[in-house]
Amino acid sequence: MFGALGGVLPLRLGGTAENGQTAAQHARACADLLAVYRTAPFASWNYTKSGGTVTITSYIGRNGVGLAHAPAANVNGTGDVTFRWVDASGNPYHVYENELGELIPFMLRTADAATPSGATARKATVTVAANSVRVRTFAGSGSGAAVDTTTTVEVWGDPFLATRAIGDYGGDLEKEDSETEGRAPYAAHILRELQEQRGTAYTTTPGRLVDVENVALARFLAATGPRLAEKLRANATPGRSDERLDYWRRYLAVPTKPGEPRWRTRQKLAAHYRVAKGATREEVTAALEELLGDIFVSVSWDEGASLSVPPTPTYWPDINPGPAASSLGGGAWLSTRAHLFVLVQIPAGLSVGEFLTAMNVDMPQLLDRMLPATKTFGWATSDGFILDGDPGSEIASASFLDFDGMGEA
Amino acid sequence: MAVTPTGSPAWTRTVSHVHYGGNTDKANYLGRGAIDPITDVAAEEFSRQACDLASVTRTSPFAVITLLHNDGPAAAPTIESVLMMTGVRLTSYAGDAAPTGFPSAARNGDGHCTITFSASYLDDYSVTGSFAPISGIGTGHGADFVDVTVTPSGSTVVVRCFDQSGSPLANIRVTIRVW
Repeated sequence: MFGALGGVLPLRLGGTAENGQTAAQHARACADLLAVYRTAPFASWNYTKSGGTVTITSYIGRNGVGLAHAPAANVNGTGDVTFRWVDASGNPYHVYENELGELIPFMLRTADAATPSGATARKATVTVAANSVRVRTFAGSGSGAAVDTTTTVEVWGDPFLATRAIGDYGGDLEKEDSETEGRAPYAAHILRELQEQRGTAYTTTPGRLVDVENVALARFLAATGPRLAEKLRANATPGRSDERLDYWRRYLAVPTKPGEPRWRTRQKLAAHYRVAKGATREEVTAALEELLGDIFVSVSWDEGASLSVPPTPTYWPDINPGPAASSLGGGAWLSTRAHLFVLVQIPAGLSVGEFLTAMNVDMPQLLDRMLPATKTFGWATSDGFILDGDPGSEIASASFLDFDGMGEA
Repeated sequence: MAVTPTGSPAWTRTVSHVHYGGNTDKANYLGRGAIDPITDVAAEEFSRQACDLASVTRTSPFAVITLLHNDGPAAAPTIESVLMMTGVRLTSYAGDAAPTGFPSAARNGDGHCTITFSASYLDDYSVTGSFAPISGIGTGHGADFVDVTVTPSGSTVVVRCFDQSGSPLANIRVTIRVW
């Protein structure tokens, strides 16, 4: 809802096509912004090389627009230049400052280059290092010899390419229009009431002194009245909490990582909050769904077909000895009935680091607390193997860690 | 209940500012504009945001892929990094063992491979959008002349690397952009 009565940030989703943004529209904006963020270059620039001189004529980058933000050029030879970002003292740097004043470490991932101008065919190649790119240019036909020319370079590389999520833009799979202020803000109702109370002797023309006072009063009453009550209600549970997130983090004793985004903290707290409802199947499943989001596939227990016939491996000295190979020794017992199996997947938008943090840090923190001491748990992707096998040789070699399961292409 | 975003995913190139809440008649509620520009977003500013987001969404590449042709011994190309609208993969993988959600690559000959995409992909809200490459650009890596061509065909793009005389080049690393 936009405008003086409803448009004060935070934006409340809802409204009409003429004066609002709905949850569905906001979701589309989050998804598309994330999509273009992933493939947009870190920087592009044009340069002309002539002998020992390289002239950068334009520069557009995530670190800024203009030649002041461009990398330094070092001539290696004919048609051969290395570009490297350096600080004022000429030292290489891997950090840039964005428009919010945040210091962002970056590493180049890939690059391309083309020779856009001139009447003669040219070709360019690139060689990428962590904070530099080497560009070589050649005659496009005939000898293919190195030549100096005008070239455009594009590079990709940003530390957040793999970790940005819709939550960073306020997106959430459960986002919905505001039931209270989505159509009309509290302040609008109160303003109308004030105008009615004051009667026709007082102007309602926008911008006049009386109207300004009425608007200010309406916004004040809306903020201290219904909005405050709604805020209290929202902060009463961690899943909708904002200002009180830190309180919930301390109260539920949920560890967080330095720099962890607030949406992720909220997700974890909401999952831990379910512990209070007990370790029922429904609550465990719901808590895992809440914690893991798109990672989560299913949970299962191996119960066997009959209560009196425990599934293998089950080993319980004197009661149900089971196969000796299943004995842990020392009188300990085990049963797959007491083991929670969590099937997961790695979504394409998630880095391996984020995935492993969710599985090996966040999930154990939740399940250690939620499940009874007699219950163990584990996770796997696909068929249960974490390492992937080379599909050409089945189990002969473990190949890339892509969590696709053994032997799958 | 999960939210369903308006419109279709970015790579269908069908987006307009309306999908983000933009409207040519967008106006502040009851005509009352922003009071404090530090705390408020006015309808005019939001409209610009929606319009600009739609414009970059329409022109951004779907994928930026860096791959290494494996021509001696012959094997599927190694995909070294993939920046796709649907996700980022910075750990390399064999072209014939593509992780879920990322393209595969098959070797056709020296410096010649076919990259295969899915016919559709899911966005971050699990909305399906069909995809078929419409164009591509490629650049070779390294110290020597490389001419790279990228030819879309159905759900694939065919990448070829040549030297200055037009002969295929082996074991070349290339970066391609696909729209």
